[in-house]
Amino acid sequence: MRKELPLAITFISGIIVVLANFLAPTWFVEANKEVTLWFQITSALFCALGVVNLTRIHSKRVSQQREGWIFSALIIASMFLFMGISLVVGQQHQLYKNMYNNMNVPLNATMYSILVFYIASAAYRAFRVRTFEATILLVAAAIVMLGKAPIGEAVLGSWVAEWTTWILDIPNTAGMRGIQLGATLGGIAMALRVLIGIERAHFGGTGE
Amino acid sequence: MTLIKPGLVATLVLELAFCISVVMLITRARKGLKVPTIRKVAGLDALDEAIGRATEMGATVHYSPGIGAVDNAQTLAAMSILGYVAKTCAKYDTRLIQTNRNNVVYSIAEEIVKQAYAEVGKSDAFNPDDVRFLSEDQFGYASGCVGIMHREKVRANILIGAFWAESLIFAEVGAQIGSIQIAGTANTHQIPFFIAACDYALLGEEIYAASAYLTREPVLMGCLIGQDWGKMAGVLLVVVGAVMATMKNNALRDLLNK
Repeated sequence: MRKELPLAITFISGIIVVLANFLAPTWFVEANKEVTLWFQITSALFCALGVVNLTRIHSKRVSQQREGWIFSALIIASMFLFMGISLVVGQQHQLYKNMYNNMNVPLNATMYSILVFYIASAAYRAFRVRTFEATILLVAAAIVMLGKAPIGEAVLGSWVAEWTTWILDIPNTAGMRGIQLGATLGGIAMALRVLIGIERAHFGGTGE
Repeated sequence: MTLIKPGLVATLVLELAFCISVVMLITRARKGLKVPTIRKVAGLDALDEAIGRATEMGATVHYSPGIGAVDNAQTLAAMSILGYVAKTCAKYDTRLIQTNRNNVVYSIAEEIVKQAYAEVGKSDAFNPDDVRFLSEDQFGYASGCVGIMHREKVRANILIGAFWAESLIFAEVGAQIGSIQIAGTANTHQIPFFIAACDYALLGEEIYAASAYLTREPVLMGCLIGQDWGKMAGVLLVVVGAVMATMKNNALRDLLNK
């Protein structure tokens, strides 16, 4: 029963969610809404597990005064501060909004902006000409970069922009769609394996 | 009132046909009938190499299942591979740090890793603190992972699942610290980043083939063959559609839009 019940729940709720994309009757749409609501409620319950994990790991670091323990203390303090304030004043309160917009948002933006340096170093690594494929990549990338930057068209003429459009629309899109076709079918097969209980890793085992 | 939403009849029929062919092949595999062999996937073969290298160096393996929720097929595929990675790490007493962005995925991952240690008879070696929930926030999770990679002597970095903008942050930091890196995703815009920065990349469908490839279980192999049949049918539709569209014939397009 320990295995059969979760499998049955997975199958029934999975079928409802999948068919809801195709079937029109109102009762079916309502059933799907109900299942989705249950999913949201269950997911919300798991939030507590995340908080427990964070608190356990970082409080251990603080109590043992391990290297960087001050950051762990900061994590615990900020997590409970945010949680407390949102519970007391609500997420629409100006205090909460100020904290979110002036602390969370800039931190996210900083992390995101670092990407530009990583893109440069990854591009350098990818464009090192060692093989025939890397040469094609380098030439295609150089044309696209020149075509996308205003200076490219101004100096070299309109052919750069035309070639850029061709590279992006034809070979690039064809390659992407080829991968997408395989990935989509793989995703459907994966969902089917989960629905009929062949794939069981998500139940907590190693899938064997 | 119509039973099926307009414009989705053909999609439903095609999906059902695909599912039926997969189920047929699974049934065939269950009966013990021969299923063809599958090609080598370098990225999956390299999992043992990566864990072996970390073991030799006395270093840590980091595993990220991406930032997708549990309703994402890529996350489920990542969970299958996690079982194999955790078991191998447990077998060789290699430290595995598994990080998560989603609470539900975190609890599933913890169970998988715990079970993997139990299956090799090393339940006592399982450290619950090595399966970590970092943050629900995309870049909060990314910065947490980067910190772990730098601090915990990560020499094997396995990134398999649904990744978005943070993919390159993980892959580049992994490359900078000298980790052997295996990455895979079905998100096409992130694949080039993984190819550029990682030692091995699993492209799209290869992550879904992992459980069949790693376990060589006939039933899962049968499912994989069904996937290939579907792909061949898809390619056939694309070719026929392209030829018909070139000849200004929209019959197939209209049929698929029904």
